[in-house]
Amino acid sequence: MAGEIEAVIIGVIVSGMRLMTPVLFAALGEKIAERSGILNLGLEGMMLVGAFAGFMGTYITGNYVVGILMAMAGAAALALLKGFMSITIRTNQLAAGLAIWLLGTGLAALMYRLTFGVQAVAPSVELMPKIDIPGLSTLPGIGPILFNHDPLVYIALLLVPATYFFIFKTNLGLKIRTVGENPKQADALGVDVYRIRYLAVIIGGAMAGIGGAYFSLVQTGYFLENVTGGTGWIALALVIFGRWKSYWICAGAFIFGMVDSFQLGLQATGSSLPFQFLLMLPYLIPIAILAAMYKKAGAPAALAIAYKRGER
Amino acid sequence: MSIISALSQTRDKVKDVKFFVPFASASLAFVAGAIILGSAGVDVGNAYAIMFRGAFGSVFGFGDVLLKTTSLILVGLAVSVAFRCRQWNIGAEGQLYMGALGGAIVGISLIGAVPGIAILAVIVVSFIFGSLFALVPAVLKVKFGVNEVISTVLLNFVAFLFIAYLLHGPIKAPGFNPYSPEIFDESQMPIIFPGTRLHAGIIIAGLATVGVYYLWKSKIGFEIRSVGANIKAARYAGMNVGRSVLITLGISGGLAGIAGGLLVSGVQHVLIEGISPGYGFVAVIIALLGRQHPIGVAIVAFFFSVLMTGSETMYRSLGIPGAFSMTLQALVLVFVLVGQLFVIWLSRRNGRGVR
Amino acid sequence: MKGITIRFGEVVANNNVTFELRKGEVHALLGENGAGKTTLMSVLYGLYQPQAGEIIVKGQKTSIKSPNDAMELGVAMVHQHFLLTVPHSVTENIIVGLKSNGFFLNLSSAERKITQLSEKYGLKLDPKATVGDLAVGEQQRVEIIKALYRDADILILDEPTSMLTPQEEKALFSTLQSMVNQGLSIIFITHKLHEVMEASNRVTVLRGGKVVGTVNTSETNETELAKMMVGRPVVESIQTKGPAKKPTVLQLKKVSALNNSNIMFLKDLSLELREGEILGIAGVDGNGQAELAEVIAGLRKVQSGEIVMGNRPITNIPPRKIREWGLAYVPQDRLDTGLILEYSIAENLILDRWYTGEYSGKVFLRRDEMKKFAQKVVSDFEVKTPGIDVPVNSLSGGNLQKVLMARELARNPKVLVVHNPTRGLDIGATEYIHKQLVKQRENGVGVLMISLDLDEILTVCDRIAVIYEGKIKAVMDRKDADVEYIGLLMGGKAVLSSEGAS
Repeated sequence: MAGEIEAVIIGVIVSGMRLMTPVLFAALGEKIAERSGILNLGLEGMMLVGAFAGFMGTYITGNYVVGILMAMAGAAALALLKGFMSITIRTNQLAAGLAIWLLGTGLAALMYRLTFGVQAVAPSVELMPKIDIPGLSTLPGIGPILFNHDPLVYIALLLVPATYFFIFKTNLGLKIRTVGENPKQADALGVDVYRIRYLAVIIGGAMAGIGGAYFSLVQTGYFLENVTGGTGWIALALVIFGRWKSYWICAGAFIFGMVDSFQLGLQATGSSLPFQFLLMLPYLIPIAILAAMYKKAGAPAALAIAYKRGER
Repeated sequence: MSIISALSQTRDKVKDVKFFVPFASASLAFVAGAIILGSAGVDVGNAYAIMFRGAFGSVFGFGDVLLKTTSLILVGLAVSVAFRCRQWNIGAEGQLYMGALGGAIVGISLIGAVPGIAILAVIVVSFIFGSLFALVPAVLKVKFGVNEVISTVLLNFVAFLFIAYLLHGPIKAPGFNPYSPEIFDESQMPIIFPGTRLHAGIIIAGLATVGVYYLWKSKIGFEIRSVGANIKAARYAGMNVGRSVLITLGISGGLAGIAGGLLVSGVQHVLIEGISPGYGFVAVIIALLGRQHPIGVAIVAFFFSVLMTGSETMYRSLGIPGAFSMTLQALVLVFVLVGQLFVIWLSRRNGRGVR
Repeated sequence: MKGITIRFGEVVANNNVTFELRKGEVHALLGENGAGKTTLMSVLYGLYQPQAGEIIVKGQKTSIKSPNDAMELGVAMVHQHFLLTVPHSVTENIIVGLKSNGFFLNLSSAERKITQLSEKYGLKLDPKATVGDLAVGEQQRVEIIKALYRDADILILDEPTSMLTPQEEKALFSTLQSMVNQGLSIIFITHKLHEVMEASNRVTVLRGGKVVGTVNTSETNETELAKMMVGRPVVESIQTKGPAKKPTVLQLKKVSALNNSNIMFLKDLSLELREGEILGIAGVDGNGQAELAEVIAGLRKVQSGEIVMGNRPITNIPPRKIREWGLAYVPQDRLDTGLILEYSIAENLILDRWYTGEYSGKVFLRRDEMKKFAQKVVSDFEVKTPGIDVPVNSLSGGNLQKVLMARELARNPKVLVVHNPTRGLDIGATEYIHKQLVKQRENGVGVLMISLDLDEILTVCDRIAVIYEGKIKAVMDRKDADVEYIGLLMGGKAVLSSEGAS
């Protein structure tokens, strides 16, 4: 009995790790963008474009790396447009983000159908294989949890300390943070505020693209319209919950992954609660967490405010 | 010579920026759409012709355009009311679904009522359902400072799932399909133009437009608008910001709810998943384009209905997906937002101060 | 800097200004508001380009097109309002954006250099501290070290003591001295006479964009400097009769309040305003004027002391109530709390009375009444507007001010507080506003006019008070007002029992 329970728990955690990966990619990327002062509501759209582009790339070449690169490129292009609207033209960042969200959603679905049409058997790609880390993956308990995943999981986990290091321990990261807190100061000290913001938002977009590609290349093997199912929005909530810090965002993503995995597991074991309510949990929990936080502490001071040189 | 002067006269009129930017943006969007279709090997001229014919080529088609306009005006107004108070309600789709639920409940419960009363009940109950659902994020915002963009968006999914649950269980009609039972005749909106699907709901949409127009002329509307325009000045004037937010989102959700109720009562006569092809999301674009003026919203809603109806015809004839219309709509918004730069450039040339 | 001329629109901020800084000196730049001091230094720092004139740095003629150029020449500016990132550490604030930085953040070597600099110049600072935890004086040291770290040898300080305590001020002056001993050259902008006398070697006085003169500090005194600072051709008052001794309508008793940076900015300020007079508050910007207006209007918390209007205490009462009891307030920032840009004249006019029933029924606003009100205001106040329903963002500054005043005056207030009422307005609009103020005075309203424009105060006021560092230094009748004396007070000189040199 104990062994069974243990197996179930391990199973839930393993699956949770996989469920948390796309949202972790997107949230870490968005954290970098928001640290420079750009709020990107279009995250969901960028992820969908990434899901499509990743699928296309892999489908055509049979190579996952190409797929990932295309996912990054597609999402980054959308991010560039968002950057153009928010940094150079200085439109309202919320409106620009919403436009990008809908554009990305529409484009991804449109391009998919135009390319593949309606087929009896939907085109698919082989799921990305898992990598066994020799030796470590056979450790009891920890083994399957940490060492038996597809490469993107590892990359996502590595990105947590990597983004932390980038933002807090490099000069470029310091520039990004200063631009997000006090762009006037950065400008007076010779930092190119516009360039830094463009850089940050494109990095964020590229990472969101990988997150989106995860859905098509690892979780399903297909491209489905709206396959991301709100993940981009949850990533936005996670950035707030994580107070713009990588490790906290990772913790939040982990919680999200566990909740999702848990409710899926409950569905599988035939719980009496209708499965739709379980499916609601991943959406309700972030809202509840935000309410419990009560006061948003630590937002970059210049978040979502456009900067113009010489403005008093 | 006269051609040139006529052209320059047109150019002067077109230069009136208020019309130029939306007009140019719509045109550019069509061009971009043509490029996308063309690159996929579609005969663009044919495609656009089919789209146009789908919307305007038949009585039924145009009836469908007006039918969609009904829904889009209501959700467009819903979101624009919220935006006017600077509350970003991205949850109109979920609120629509809750309203549809309310309408369906009335429809399948009320027998033997006077038809007018039943329809009135549908409208009122769907308003209430939508409004209450929107008050959840409203209260969360006022009391806990929860960002309403995130809360309204995530609640959409909660609404979808809730409806799905009901349709697979408690409200399911006997049989295999996840529909609700059909609503009784008294709750069905009458068709007002034979040969089409256009029902009396369009009158409701018109009334809503007028209603919102008068809302902005009222005292409450003045408070709401002030809070949205300049919250500091509004506070200094002694206005109650929290109350304005609650009222705004309540009305917003209610209008979206009515849209849902009318979809059940006027078109499908049952509650079904996917009853709305994303009206609540398109509404965000409509509200941003309509510049928060009810007439503007109605005009954009009509234009987008043409797009969506024509797009449906393109799908039936050519297999071009419905996502095409959403892409076009999003492109129009992008071009309009980018066009702002042009507006500012123009006003600088005219020597006026820049704001 | 030779022959520097720079215009902003019609205003000539610097008119053929010549300024010279010698190596190893502390050179003060003195002047009242709008004299052009900050503008001149902004030109030196590359924030503005002059229309005429040349700049010669260390013997080389150069053009300075951006702060980067200035920094390369060794010129650094410490702004009056610090440019710091509050949650970051001292080191992070100092080294951000340095071209010599590598990829990795090397805090420890930067910290070492900062500690070295801080010891060399006697600027005590902990490089690891978070800027948000530092006192204002320490934050200023961060700004100074920021400049020194970049090998600046010409340092510009803009009103450096505006936020400092007296002790911090002393520390700053001794720091300046030790910096100069190490070979730096310093310019500091100020309006405070005692600072000039204490800390500078030479002083250049600007007035109205022109140089009045450059003198060695040791060869002058405060009285002379004040004369140079504010001396002007005689300004005639437009008042013909002196004020009668009337009852008090507004009284502040030892009011203290904090400013936005939580520094005590109003310090036991006492003031009396009488019925039917215009009392002017003169002073250089940053001595508590905005805070004074805001505590009266109920927009800023009073920490101690009392404010009484008529016989009603209005200390820390909600602004709407104070308005209802008879206060009218025209803030210096018309667009922030006063008006809503997208609204028409009519809608802006009812922002303070939309709930009273005058212009609204049970549900709807009374559009016709509002329109009549707006039309009356437009004609009474000669507001130039393209139409009655257009959003007010199409109105010029002067007309916006008229609308704002009209709204406030339509309440028939007992007390009218105006802050910089004619800033940015052309002559016609300015004269109009002054006429209005006098009219109110005739009607028995007590008018408190806080203004940075000394000419305006001399023209319009019955009595003149001078505010300095959060206190009222002196109050005098207009007919007894001596411009030089006022200049001395504005510069911080203590009240003398008799005139004469120190």
